[in-house]
Amino acid sequence: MGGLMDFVIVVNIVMTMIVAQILLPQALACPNNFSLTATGRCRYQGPYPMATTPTQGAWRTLPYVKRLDEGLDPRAIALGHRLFSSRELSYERNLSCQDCHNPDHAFTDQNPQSIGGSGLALKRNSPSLYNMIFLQRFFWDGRAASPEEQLAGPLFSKDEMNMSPEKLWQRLLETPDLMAALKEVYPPTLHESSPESPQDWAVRGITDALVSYQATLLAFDSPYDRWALGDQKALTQDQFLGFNIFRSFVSRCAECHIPPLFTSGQLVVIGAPDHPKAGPDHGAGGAGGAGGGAAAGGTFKVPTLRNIALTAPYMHSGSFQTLGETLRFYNRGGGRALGTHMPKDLHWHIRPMTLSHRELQLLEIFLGSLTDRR
Amino acid sequence: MFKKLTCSMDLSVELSVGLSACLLYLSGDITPALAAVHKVSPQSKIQATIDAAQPGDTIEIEPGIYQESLYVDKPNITLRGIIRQGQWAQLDGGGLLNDGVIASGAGFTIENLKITNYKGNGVMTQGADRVTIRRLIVKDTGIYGIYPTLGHHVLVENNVVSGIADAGIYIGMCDSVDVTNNEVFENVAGIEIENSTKALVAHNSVYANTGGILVFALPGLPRKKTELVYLLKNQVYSNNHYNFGAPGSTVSSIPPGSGIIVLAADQVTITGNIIRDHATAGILLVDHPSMPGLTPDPEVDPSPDRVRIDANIIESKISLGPVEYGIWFHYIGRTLMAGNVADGALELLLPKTFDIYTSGTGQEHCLDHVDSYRIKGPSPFAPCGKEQDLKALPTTMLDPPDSKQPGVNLADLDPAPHAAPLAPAIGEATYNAVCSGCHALNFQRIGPPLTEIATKYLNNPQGIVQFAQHPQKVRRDFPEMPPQTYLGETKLLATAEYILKLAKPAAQTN
Repeated sequence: MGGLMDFVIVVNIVMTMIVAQILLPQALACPNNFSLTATGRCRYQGPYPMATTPTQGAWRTLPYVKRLDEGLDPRAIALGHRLFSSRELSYERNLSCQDCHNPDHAFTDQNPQSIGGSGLALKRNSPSLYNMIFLQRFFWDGRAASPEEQLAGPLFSKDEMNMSPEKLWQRLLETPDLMAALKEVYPPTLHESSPESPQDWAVRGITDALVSYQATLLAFDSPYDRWALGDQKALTQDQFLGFNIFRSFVSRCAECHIPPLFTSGQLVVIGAPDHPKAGPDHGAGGAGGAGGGAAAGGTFKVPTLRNIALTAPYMHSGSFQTLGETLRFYNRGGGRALGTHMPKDLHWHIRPMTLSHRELQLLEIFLGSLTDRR
Repeated sequence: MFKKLTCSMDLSVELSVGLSACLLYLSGDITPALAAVHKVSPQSKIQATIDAAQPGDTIEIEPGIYQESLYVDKPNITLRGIIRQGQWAQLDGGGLLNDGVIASGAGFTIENLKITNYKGNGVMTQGADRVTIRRLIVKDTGIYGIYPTLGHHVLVENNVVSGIADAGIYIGMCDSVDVTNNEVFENVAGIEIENSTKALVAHNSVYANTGGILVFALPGLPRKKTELVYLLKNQVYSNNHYNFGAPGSTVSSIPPGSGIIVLAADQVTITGNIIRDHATAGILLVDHPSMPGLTPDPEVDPSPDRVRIDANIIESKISLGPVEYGIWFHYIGRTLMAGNVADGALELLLPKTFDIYTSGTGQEHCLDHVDSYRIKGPSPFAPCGKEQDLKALPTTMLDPPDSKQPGVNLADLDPAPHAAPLAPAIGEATYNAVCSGCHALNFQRIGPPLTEIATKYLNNPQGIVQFAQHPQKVRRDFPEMPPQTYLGETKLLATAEYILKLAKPAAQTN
């Protein structure tokens, strides 16, 4: 068996080197966690495998994502990267995706609520984009079911990019190099029977390019990952003690923030306070939320904890300035500590944790081990 | 050879092959041939021995008291207590430590230990497949006694679990689980099967809890259903304990005096049990709105469907005494204080004594001899028809042949007509237990992806069966597959059909 594995590994390494280094031109490079296929696409090849059966999908495996398995178009990724930082995508040329999803802060923006195109604060805290391609629902209230649907939100919102398909097409006409780049990756289809309007083509191409780029924003290179993949020394003593608190049922953190994504993606009520400036927020329980009338008030999607040390302030409203403050909120029992003001339909895992000061410190130290090497 | 290939490599070196080898390591698919046995005595630390052990090793623990929390993050480790002259090895948290044992490595076995005085759980496994937990005496370990979560092929047998503020034995989001021959008492919930599929709960003695056996599909979790659960030949009696669950926890809303509660679970078989002396009801069949404190989840079907109740002895209390009324007042008080009581749940708060209580039930249930029981609520039951042959279901687990789990034989699970409910699942179970070690749907693991197999054998499952019985080396860059004849023709065919069903859509679009 051992000899066989050696043989397989050697063969695979040689094949990988031949394919990656010699046969294909350097221009078609793929980002980290992706490898170039024979057909020139970037296929997911990260450290955690995607699930092969519907019952897998936690602790050791990622949910299956078809587009990552089939591979992304490297040209679309490159174009999406360019679009991501381009203010041409906002009607007033005053906002890019990156303004709220800054790579330096794990694709968040350090504001309690993001600032819109008009300079006014929006409703909620900017969520990190890392590993978003593995999620089933998007926005804090889970109202979008696909990354494409999500993207239409800020792009067409009056308070954010303030675009429309017509304005987007107009912008392409005014920006020839962008038009040329888009045409190269997405050659317009000319079917007499069902012609795609130029506006629809522009939305489709820009959306696909941006989603392709965002699909490559993967975060699996933290000390925690090196530990989970077998390096017993990758976590410091305190980080490991903190992880043991994190996975304990005394804290119950890992019940909703399940590795390796560190989120279950569920819509839950924990009773985090709204921000005085942003006002009451019912989340998925509000109008247009994923739960419609069925979900409870103040219902929000469980966010990932990856790179959490870089993404202050915290919660849907950005009400907590530090991780310590956030952990103390949970330790007191979240919304359950509010007594008679306790929100309805709190998740049953939200109860006092009764952790000591030292244990909370260790928990915070562990959360620091979820920061990726960059 | 394998021990040389540790996984401590620098991940910035993009050797995807090395990484996939590490993942095989973690999933327990690679086990070194030589396993060692390490002895630990009370003068030393068990954890230090675990840290020094190699995958596949056994750690034998001498009698005595060990004040430790144990963490097992490597595959195929066995923790075994030595019992000598009646003296046990005992893990004691002293009421200060959070957890007794947490394991994340596949193929984990723990046996012959006493575990007591922890705040979190006695034994918890997270994401570990092929877990065996047996012959433990677990007492006062906080929230759960024995808690495997997110695992395949879990065996929990011959344990004694008591004094737990939530569930004594809690099976969370697992598949293919056997819970057999346990004694579970004086917990809030005795045995709880939650958002899990294919679970056998048999020959357990479950008494003096608030609720005996719970089969729950709960909201707000990533796994959305509980189905194919078999409660066979258990003794479930006198579960009238006052409810000491933590306020806000799901079990805090269990009415004292509940024998078996089926909440929103499907295809539950309750056969051959003795269910006696309960102050609320022997069996409760309820939906989400009928349980206080449950939050809505649009993705979970809130009603139980296709529950079969037959060949049980059910005898409940006829009237309540002062002690029972005291327990009721306590329950009602704390439930109302905790809030979150939906209108539909108010009725459950009232004291009652019935054999079977139903509220918001789903459809297609069956009950033998409807007239024999005192039923409260609608009676959605059809007659059950022919009695099931219980011998057909010794386990819900299917094991790879080299597994360490004893008492489980692949031949035991025969898709004969009397085991009809499981037959469609056999292909899937065999695939998960055996094939998935080397094959994945869309990518090359050790063998070729299923999509390639499905392209080659489109509409020809028999072809796959023949290849699996007499494999040949087809491609130079793949190792030759070992023959799978031991599975038998029936199981191989079911597996081949499952593989084609799984991979065909993907294969055709490629």
